[in-house]
Amino acid sequence: MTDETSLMLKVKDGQIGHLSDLFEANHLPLYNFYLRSGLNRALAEDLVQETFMRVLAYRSTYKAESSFKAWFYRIARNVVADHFRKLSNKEHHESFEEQHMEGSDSLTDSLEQQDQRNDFEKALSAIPAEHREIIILSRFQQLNYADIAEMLNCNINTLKTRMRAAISNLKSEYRLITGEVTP
Amino acid sequence: MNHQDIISQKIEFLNGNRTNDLSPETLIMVKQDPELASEIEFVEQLWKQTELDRVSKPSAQMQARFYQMLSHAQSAEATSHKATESAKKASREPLLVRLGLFQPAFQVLLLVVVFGLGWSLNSNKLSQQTDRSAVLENKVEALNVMVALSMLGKDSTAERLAGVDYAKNVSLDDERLVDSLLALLNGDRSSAVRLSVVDVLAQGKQHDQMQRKIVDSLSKQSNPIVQVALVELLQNYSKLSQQQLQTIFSNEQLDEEVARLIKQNFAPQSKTI
Amino acid sequence: MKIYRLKATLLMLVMCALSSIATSANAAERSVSHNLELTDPNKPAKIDVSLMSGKITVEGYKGKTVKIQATVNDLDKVKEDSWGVNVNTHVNTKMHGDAGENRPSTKGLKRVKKTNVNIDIEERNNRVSIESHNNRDSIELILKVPFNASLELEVNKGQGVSVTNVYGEIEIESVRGPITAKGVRGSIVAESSRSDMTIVFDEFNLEKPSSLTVHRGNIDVTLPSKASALIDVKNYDGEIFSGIEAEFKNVDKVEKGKSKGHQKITIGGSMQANLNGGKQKLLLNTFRGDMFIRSK
Repeated sequence: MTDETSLMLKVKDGQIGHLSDLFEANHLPLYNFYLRSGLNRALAEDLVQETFMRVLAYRSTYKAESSFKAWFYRIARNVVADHFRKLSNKEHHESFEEQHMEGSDSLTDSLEQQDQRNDFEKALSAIPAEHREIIILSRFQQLNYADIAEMLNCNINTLKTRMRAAISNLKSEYRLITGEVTP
Repeated sequence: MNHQDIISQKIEFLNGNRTNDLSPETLIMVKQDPELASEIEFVEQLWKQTELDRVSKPSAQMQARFYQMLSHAQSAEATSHKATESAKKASREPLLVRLGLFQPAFQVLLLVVVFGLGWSLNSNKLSQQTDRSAVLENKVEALNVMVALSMLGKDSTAERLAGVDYAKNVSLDDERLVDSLLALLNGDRSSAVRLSVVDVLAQGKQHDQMQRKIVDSLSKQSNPIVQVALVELLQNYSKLSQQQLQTIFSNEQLDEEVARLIKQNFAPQSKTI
Repeated sequence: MKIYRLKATLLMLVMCALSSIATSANAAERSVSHNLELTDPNKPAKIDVSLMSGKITVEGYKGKTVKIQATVNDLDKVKEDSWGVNVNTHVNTKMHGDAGENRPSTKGLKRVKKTNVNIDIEERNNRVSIESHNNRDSIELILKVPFNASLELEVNKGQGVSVTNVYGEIEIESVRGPITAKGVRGSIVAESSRSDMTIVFDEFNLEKPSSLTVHRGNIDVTLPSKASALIDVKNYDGEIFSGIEAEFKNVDKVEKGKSKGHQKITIGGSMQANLNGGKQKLLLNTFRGDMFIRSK
């Protein structure tokens, strides 16, 4: 049993103070997950708060045999899906480009590194949402295949096929953007 | 083993979920398939692009909000737990009645036993909960002060205004916060910020030291709107001494109307000041 | 990062020779124009203007540069200040050094009209700063800025400030002249000591509070009918006229006297109206003046 699983079981048991440990470990990756999903900073913060409120509200549904990460990110996905269902994307969506142009913390990176990072980010924003999602979950949130499959409610073989398609798609976009191939 | 298996193995290895990288046999397969090789190379490139892992940090307010929410949830949990215990206790009595044990002395004894058992079983849990709740509340308060102080120091007047507004929800027990607010009251370029500070100070505890600081501020303000607001604030305190009145009236920029109001409110018997 | 400084120093002879630059017949006006490029045209600009005397006019436009036109009016001519008092600044020549009988002779000499003017314009990482602390001249500054620019404008005396269609954060201080801002979409903090203020919001920004303060003068503010604003009004001596769909209620109660013989007097106090949920604050403060709160 992982630390997070045992913490969540304690929260389920009524020791809700332990939610703060889960918050400390997960709030930053979750915030960045929302940013990468195309939300602006203010909204990402709101949805982080909403996610932890739902973790508290639905704590009785958590099962010991379930991976905490899979359960947690399933809630996170539902939060963002509910948000987009309520509102139009236009007002609150920022492309990766816009988000990463804010702030000046890229000053120490070389121009080449910045270019490469921007190209990857551009490519990521250009592929279909369902492909982008599994790449974000795997590459950035570092979830394993089992967790992602559990989250998406599909079997692992299906996930493997989708992941390959997503990688292939991303590679094509990246090569278009960098000019390695022409359209 | 098909292509997607190979890619998934590679990804699991790069994520640290798998100890071994692709086996030599698998690598031969990869080399023989240019498309697969290109995909594996791309995956490696994407995963090793550490600049992509640059993490954006949220504002301090996000943490403060979470701990506030948790603190409220804890209080609600503690209250509901007590209510549940009371309900459970009340439900035992009919059972005892049915068992024919309803006799006053015995009932008192039973109640003592029930209470004692309940108390000893739950005191640990409850006191842990209460301690944790108190710690969390302090943490929330400290975070709120930190957020308020950071906002009060911003360049933008609108942000400082938002900071003063935020400070309304924070206890004024923290000296650093009070000092920052007074500094804004006496030195901010915007009258709107100064007026907002007066509103915040009106919510704080009234004591002599604060009264002295308000008098001192009033003796230096040039803006009649702020002067009037401070006069209003002083009405919450005890009478002003003659010396304090003299300090105020030494302000050459004191508006005539404000001066008249001060005399009317604080020195009704005084004929000359 | 691009840093450069432009100092405009104009001579009378140059002004006459350069026919493309407009001058008045008696050379009491001098004008200069400049099109300033930003370090990063794709990011918002922050414009900071500080003048001792004059007028600032800013208009938002579709472009990505900052267009600056500065016209300097000599204060040698007789003019009225905003209080309607004639001010003749150079009736009596002021001589530095000893006065009276020790004053050097000016026989055979011509007075040389000083025509240099100093306006500092600096751009650094999209922050544009325009400053003149010249007390002698009245500078009329006309700026065209990208729509999403933020402004920090300050003028001590003269004809005040006028802003149109600028959507970023706005901060204005005009000690003596009026303030007008139309087409506002960002937060605005504006303060004027002795003149009226007219503000028209196209949208009411919910990110940060807005505040309008006039010491002696009227405030005329127009809000969109769907704006969600918690309007907090402090008005010591004046009337409040409202055309919005929200009722103003008194929130401050003057404290009762704590000891016998202490008079209880209502001083101003604040009134508040919750418009459409009041998600962000709009603070209106006057010492002496009326308030007009309109809806559109």
